[in-house]
Amino acid sequence: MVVPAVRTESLTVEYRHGRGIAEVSLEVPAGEVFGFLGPNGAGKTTAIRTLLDLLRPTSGRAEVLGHDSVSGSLEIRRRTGYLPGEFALPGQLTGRQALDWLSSLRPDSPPIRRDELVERFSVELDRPVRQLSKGNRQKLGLVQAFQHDPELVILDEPTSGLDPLVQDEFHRLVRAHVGRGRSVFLSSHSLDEVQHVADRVGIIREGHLVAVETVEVLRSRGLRRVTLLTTDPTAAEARLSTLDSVSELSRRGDRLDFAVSGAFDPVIAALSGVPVVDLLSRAADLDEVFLALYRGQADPS
Amino acid sequence: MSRIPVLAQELRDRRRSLLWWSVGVAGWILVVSAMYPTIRDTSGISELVSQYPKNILALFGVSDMDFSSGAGYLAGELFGFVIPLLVLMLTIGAGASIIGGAEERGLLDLVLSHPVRRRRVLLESAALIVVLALVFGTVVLLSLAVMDPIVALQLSVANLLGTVLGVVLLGITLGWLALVVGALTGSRGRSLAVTGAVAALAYLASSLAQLVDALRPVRLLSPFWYATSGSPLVAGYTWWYAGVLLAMAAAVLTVGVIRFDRRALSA
Repeated sequence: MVVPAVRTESLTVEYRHGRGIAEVSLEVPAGEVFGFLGPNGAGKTTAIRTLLDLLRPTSGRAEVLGHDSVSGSLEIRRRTGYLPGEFALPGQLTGRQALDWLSSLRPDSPPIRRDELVERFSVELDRPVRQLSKGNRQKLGLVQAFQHDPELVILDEPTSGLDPLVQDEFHRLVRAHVGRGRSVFLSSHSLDEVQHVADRVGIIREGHLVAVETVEVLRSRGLRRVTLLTTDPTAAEARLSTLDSVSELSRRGDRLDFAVSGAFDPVIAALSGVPVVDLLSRAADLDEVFLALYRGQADPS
Repeated sequence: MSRIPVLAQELRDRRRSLLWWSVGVAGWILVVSAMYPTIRDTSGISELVSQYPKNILALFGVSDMDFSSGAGYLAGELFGFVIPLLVLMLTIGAGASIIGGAEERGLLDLVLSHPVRRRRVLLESAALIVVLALVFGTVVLLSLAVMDPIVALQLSVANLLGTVLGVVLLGITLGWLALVVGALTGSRGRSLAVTGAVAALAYLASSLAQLVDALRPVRLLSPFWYATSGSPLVAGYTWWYAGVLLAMAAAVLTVGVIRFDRRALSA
């Protein structure tokens, strides 16, 4: 049997002042990108930090690479890379000194990928960290998480502060990493992002894991917000209102706003012949997605 | 590569400030001891000082102000208050920031996501505080060794070594307390507040115990009592007090190791 990258059983972490996570059970097989999706404060960071023994479970347990998160923590940390949600480095070090310092904490795992990663992300190595922009610091964070080519990389909101081009490069890096049989566990509050990069997505809300879905399922059932500009809004409105997958249709001048759940092609088909000036489609925010996905079941209240 | 890589960074950070601190301490000692011949030879100062109320003198950590000998002068002017204060500023400041400060800055999470035991981080930090206290003690010794022949302080080598040992161990004990409080609270500020309060109370317990009988049992809990009481530069250091200080420091560190291992770190 292949050892899963991450496995939790009823993992519960309670804080003195509430919040935390409750009864989270999930399994991430090796070779997968698992996206942990939820709004800020939902418990993503708590779960991640428990995997690295920065927090202890109140009850339940977690295993990483086959080792218990508490008793096997040293071995886990030897074989993983981690990017914290708030990535900080000693400000007076240059990027190179910071990476050297962190490598020195892993004497068994030389930074074999550093040069390649530095080049790939055009990382600034010779300036003190405190002079770097948030994005450039975050790139250093990515390099230190991947530089020793770990079996599992755990990333907490890895793309915060990165510009879109760098985000794309990061997504390619993640896909290539699992392409070589390694695993990535990342958290995000952006559905678009996890859809881009993950194989499966766990949705966490108020400390509870409410669903684990493949990205295909999320896409097929996902909710999108659409804005349509047309010179013939009356015809467009009439056609769209016949579709089951379209809801919340509203019209303001020659602009129509509506939500689409599931497949998009019926919308395109319905609009054929209508003079479209512009069509803008974006993912609905998480709460809306959640409601669209689980309306009627697992009522969270 | 450094043998204590976790702290290689801390050491580098502190090297320059330690250098300036040493220069300042040495300068202060040189100036104070250079004034000794003048004060000794000015008739009346000793008499004046000896008329000070005893409790005022006690507050400054001196039981008998005696400016007629180098040892008596330095015991009053340096070792009663200023030198302990300086060593504590150094070790408590470092102790509070090494782990508590690192956690506040979000660095501890990153370090401990590497294959490094928490115990090791704490013990390396404790070792760094020992180094700071020893550097401080060495600067004090060297400064006085230079001045002794120049201004005829006529210090006893054994008494001087004992006095400096007491000061170094005081710095280590309260520095470790600051380290442990920082490691258990994750807050540099809280560590400074708690350790500062402990140091102040311990100082008062030790110095006022000479005057207030009710305080006499309490002084036995005070690290100051075992480090600076009874003017060791004049009367000689009670060597077994060093063992008491070491035991206190070890107890604090042991509690720290046990509790820090289990603590939930703040993100």
